[in-house]
Amino acid sequence: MDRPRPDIGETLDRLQPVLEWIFTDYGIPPDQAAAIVEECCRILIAKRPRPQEPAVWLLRNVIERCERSGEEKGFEDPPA
Amino acid sequence: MKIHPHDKVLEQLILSLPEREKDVVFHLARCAYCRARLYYLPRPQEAPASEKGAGRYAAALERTRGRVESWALAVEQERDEAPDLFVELMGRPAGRREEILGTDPRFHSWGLFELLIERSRETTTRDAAWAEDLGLLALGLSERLDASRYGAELIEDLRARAWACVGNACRSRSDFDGAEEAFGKSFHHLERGTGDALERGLLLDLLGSLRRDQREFEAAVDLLRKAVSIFLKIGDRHRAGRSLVNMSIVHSHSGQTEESIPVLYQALDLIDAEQEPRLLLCARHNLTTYLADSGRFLEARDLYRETRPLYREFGEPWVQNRRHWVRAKIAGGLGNAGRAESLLLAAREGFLAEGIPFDTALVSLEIAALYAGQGRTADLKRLAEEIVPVFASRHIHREALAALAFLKQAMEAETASLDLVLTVAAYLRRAENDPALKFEASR
Repeated sequence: MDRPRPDIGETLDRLQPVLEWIFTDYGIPPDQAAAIVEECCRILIAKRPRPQEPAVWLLRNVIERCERSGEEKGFEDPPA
Repeated sequence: MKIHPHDKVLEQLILSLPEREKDVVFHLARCAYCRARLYYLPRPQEAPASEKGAGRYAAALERTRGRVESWALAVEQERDEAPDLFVELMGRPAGRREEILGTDPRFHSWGLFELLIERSRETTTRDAAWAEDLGLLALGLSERLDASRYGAELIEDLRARAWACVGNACRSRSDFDGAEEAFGKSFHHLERGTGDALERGLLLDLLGSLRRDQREFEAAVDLLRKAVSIFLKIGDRHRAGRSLVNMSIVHSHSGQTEESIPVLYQALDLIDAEQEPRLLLCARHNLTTYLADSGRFLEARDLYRETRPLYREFGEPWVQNRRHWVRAKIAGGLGNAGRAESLLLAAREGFLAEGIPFDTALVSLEIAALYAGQGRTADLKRLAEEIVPVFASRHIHREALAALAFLKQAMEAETASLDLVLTVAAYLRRAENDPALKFEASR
């Protein structure tokens, strides 16, 4: 049985400063950042058994999506 | 730094730190969350947060937070309703369930989808055919879920999981072709899913069990190693521990009991007792058994003593009979033959009552070895009379039965040496996981 699920809002509050630095580092615009966070949170909420460390899971998935987005951008817009 | 620092370097570092900083280092060693945060620390000082970070993202993240919280509430509500829907569905005739799932939209819920998969997973060891049916029902339901509401990729993730459960159920009833097909489908859906590493880890872990049962031990260990690595990367130490327990069983099945011991010690560091006390008991019990089987009786005794409170929490016969058995191994190894005998007899009685023929046979052979070692031929003869009729009425495969019959004959003729008893016992232990293994009577 899963342990009580901490409030997702609480997890986001805790991570917000780190998330902001991640998005800044990767140059992700705010709307895309919001979409990434929402997608990851929806997956996290829908998963059972849930990851043992939801915050770590969320950070890792956000970073992976930021990296993917960076790779896609690089592909479309190669350096001169 | 790409090279792991030497023990001495680490030791010097720890010794040079004040007490408070030592605590921080030890916390970091255990906390994946804080280790992940380290990558973003220290934060650059020159750029005020309001300009570069918080100001730009706060509003967008706040809006997201609202949407995410609504979604969480909706999913929790579906989970609350799922058990009633499950009972209602199971109350309908088996042949009509698929049709009802198709026509009644109340059943088209995420909560029921994941509950069907969870029940399938839980049921595998008790009733593999039922587990397969539940997995297939979940897959049928997945066709009806609203992809725009739940997300097509998320549905694919759980389809992958459902197929893995079906594959695991097929493995459990030795339908390896069916299992291969199901795992193939599982990978197909996984590739179309969210890319969540957790799903890949869960799938690799179950596939590892299939390779173990197919006696492809190297492939099994390789898959489980990958699963452990994934779980550790996402900070899921408990699941990494679970996969290590699985890996130790692979080593044991391949006859490399010694290899299982360090793997289980590693697993014990990772398992979260609060989350799954039964897994902790399983790991500790197996480790105690492997230590005793390897002749490390004092270590086995100490570990057994530490595990006693946990054994008491699980009073069911399945656990207690195994507890008697491992205590007997330790007592025998430490020279207390009388205690070993009474514990072995208690274990044998328990296994007989439970109707577990293989374990009954193995314990009986340990009793026989004890008698043979003490030259108690009359007791051996009596034991021989009890052995074969019991096994013949149960489901022990032909080769194993032949080995027992051979031993019985020798026991009755009073020619059963300790060596012969040990040879048959070693054969039976290997044959338990490899029914095709032939018994060589000449040995």
